[in-house]
Amino acid sequence: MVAGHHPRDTTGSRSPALMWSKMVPPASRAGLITRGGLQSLLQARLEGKLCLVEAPAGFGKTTLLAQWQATGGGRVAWVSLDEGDNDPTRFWTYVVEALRTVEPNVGTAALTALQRTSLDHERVILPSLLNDLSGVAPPLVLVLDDYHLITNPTCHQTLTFFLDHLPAGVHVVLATRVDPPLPLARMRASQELTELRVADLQFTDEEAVALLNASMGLQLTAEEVELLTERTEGWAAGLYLAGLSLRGREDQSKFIAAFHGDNRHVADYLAADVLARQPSEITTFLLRTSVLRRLSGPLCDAILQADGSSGRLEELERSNLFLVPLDDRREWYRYHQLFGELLRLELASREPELVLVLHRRASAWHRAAGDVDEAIYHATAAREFSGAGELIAAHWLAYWRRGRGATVARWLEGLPEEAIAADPPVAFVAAWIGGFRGTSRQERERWLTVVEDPTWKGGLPEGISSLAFGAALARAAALFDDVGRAARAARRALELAGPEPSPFWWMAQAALGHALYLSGKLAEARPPLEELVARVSAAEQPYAVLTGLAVLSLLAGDEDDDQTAMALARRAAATADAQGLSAEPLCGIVHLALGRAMTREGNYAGAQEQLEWALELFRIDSMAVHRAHALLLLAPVRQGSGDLPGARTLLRRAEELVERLVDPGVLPALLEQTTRMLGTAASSRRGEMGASLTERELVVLRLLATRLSTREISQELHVSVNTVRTQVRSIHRKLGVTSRAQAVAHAGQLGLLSGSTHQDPDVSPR
Amino acid sequence: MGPTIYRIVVRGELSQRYGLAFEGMSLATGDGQTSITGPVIDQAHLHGLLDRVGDLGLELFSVNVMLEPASSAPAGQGNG
Repeated sequence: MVAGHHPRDTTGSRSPALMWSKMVPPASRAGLITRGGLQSLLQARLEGKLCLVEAPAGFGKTTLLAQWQATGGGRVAWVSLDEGDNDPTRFWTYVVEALRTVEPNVGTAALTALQRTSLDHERVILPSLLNDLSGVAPPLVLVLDDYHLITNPTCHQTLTFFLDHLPAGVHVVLATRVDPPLPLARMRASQELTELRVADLQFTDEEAVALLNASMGLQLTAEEVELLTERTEGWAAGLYLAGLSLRGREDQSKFIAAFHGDNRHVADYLAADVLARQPSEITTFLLRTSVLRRLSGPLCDAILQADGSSGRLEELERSNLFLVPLDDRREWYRYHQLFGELLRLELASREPELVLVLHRRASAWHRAAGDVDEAIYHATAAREFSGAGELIAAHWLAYWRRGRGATVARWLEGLPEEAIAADPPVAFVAAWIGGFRGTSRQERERWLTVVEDPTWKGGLPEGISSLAFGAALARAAALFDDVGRAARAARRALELAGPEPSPFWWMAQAALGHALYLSGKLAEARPPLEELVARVSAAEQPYAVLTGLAVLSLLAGDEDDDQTAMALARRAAATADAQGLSAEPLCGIVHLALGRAMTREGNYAGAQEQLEWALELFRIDSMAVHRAHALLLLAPVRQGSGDLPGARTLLRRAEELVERLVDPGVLPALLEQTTRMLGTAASSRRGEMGASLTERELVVLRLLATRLSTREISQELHVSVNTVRTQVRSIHRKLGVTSRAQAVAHAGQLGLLSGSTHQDPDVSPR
Repeated sequence: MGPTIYRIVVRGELSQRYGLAFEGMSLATGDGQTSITGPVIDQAHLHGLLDRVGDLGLELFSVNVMLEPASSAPAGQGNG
C-alpha cells in the first residue's frame, strides 16, 4: 500500500498531481463473498499476455479482481480507469505509476518523458518502459479496470504496441464491458489472449447461497435461492439488490414468487423497492449525492448544505448500500456505477430542478479545492457554460504545455457549440487546440470569427494578451492551405503583441519566418529566425526555437551550405528530443529539415525515415501545405533509392495536394523543379538500360513486338526455342520488366523498335 | 431531411422513470421487453444511447432503423 499520500488531482503551475485512489482496487467490504472457484479460473487463465474479463455492468468484475489482487501475493499493479484517462499522457502516467507501486524502479525514464510537453509514446516512452519491465522478476500483472471507458484510438494503439512487445512474465488484465478495439483475433490465434466472460461470471446456485444466506444473513431455502438465481440469471447486481430487498422483510417467499413472475427489468424492480424501504433521510442523501463522481464528507456537506455527511457515508458503507470506498482512510468514496446511474435517474425523476443546483454547488466546491477537471465537469453538467468557459480559459495553457491537449479537448466537447460561440476566449482555445488535432478549416474559421468579436469585454485566455493577437497567432501557427495569409497573420500578431511580452510572441516570430520561407521570401525570412534562435532558449520557447532552427537549416541548404544545414537540423532534432516534442505536429518541420539535410548527404534511408515521420505528423488538415512540402522532398529520396515509380506516385500526390491549396507559396515552383528532375533521371536510366542489350537481344526484342510466338521467332532466327527463351529472360532482366507486353512497351518508349523489319502495326505496345 | 428514427429494444420492462435516461425517446413495454424509439441526430448520438443502455445494465436485444413512423402502441416488436 502506498504510504499515506493522497493528493487530489490539481493543476495550476505544477503538473497535475496523481490520484492515488485510482491505483488501488476498491477496498474490500463486508457482505461480498469470495468466489474461490472463479479466482482459480482467473489465475489459471493468466498464462497469456492479455486476459479479458468481460461482462456487462454489475457482474462483479471489479470485485473479483480486487479480491484476487488481495490474495495475489502482491505482484499486481492496478489502475481504475475513467473518462479522463482518454488523454494518453494521463493514461500512461497512471500505468507507469501503478507499475512502480509493485516495482519501484521501472519507468523512471518513461515518467520523465511523460512529464514533458509532448510525447512520442511508441518511439520513446513505451520502449523505455518495456525495457525496464524485461528485467523484473515474473510474474507481474497489470490490471486495467473499466477499459470500456477508453475510446481514444491513440490509447488503443499504444496499448497494442505495449502488448505486442510485452516481456514474458508480465501480464495485462482488462476488465471491460465491451470487446476492446485491440487485435483480439490475432492474439487469440497465437494463444496470447484468454477470457472470462458472462458465462464464467454468472453466480452459481452455491455462490448465491453464500451471498444471500451466509453473507447477507438471510435464511432462504434452496428453492428460493434457485428462483432468484434463475430470475436474475446469476447477475451479481441483481442478486445483491434482491438480498437488500429481502432484508427484514416478513413475507420473503411471497416477495420472491412475485419477483420471479414479474416482467420488469430486475434493477428497475428492485432498486425502486430498496430505496422505498430506506428511511427518508437516507434516500434523500443517496439521491442527492448521486450527482457526484467521487464523494467525501465535506463535499457532500457542501452540496447538501447540511453537515454530518462523513458519518452518514461511513454508516452507508457499513450497511453496504451502493458505496465503494476509494481508499483505506475512508475519505473518498464513489457509488457503484450501476447503482449510481439508477440513483441519478430517480433523482431526475423526483427533483429535476435540484439536479442543476447540486452540480453548481459541486463545481464551486471543486473550484475552491483546485480540482480543475472536476470543477469543469460539474459546471458543464450544471449548464453553467460561462463558468465552465472561464475555467477552461484560465487553465488551458497549463494543460496544453504539459501534453494534456486531449484533456482540454474533452472539456470543450462537453460544451454545446452555442456556448463556445458565445465565449470568445473559449472559442480561441477551441480554435487553437483544434488546429493541432484535426479540426477542419471551416470549423476553425467559425471559432476565429467568434474570437475576433470586437464587442467582447470579458476576460482573456491565459497567455494571450488580446483576442486579436490570439486570432492572428492561431492563423499564423496552423497554416492550413494558405501561406500568404499565415504570413500576414504572423505580422499582425507581432504588431498586436502588446507591451507585455507574451509567451507566444516568439511563436509568432517563428511562424512568420516559416511562412516567409514558404512564400519564397528567403531574405526576409532570415532575420526574425536568427533573432529568435539567438535570444531565446529552447526550454522557454520550445516550439519557436525548433521552428527557427529547422527553417534556418532549410535556408542554409538552399544556399548549398550543406554542412550548416545539417548542423542546424541536428541541433533542432536534438532539442526536440530533449524537450519531448518529437511527436507534435508543430515539430514536423524538424523532421522535414533533417530529412532534407540527409538527402543532400546521400543518406536516403535516414531521409526516408525523417520525411515519413514528418508526413505522419502533417496528416491533419491544418498542415496541408507542410504535407505537400514533405511529399516534394520525399520524391527525390525515393528516386535516389532506385524507386522511380514510387517517386512518381509521391509527385502525383503532391501535385493533387498543391492544386487544392489556396496559396501554396513556392511549392508549385518546387513541384515543377522536382518533376523535371525525376523526368531527366528516368530517361537517362532508360537510356542506360537500352544500351545494355546485345545486338542479338535487340533483334529478338523487335520480334517480340510482333505477333510471332516464341517458336516462330526461333524459326525466323534459325536458333533453338531454348536460345530464344534465354534471350527473352535476359531482355526482361535488363529492362526491369516481367512480361512480353511490358518489354515491348519499354522498348517502344526507348525508341528501340524502329528499324525492325517485322513491325506489326496492329500490335499495340501495351 | 430530418433525423432518423431508431428503435432500440432491451430486455425487461422498464418503468417510465427510464424515459429520463433516454431524452427525446419514447418507451413502450410488453412481453418482457422495452422498446425505446425516437429521433437520432447522428451516429455519435446513437452510440451515446447505446452507452446509456450499457451504463444502466440493460441487455440489448436489437437496434433498428424504423421505416414507418413509430407506432405508439405498446408491445409487439416487429422490426421494420
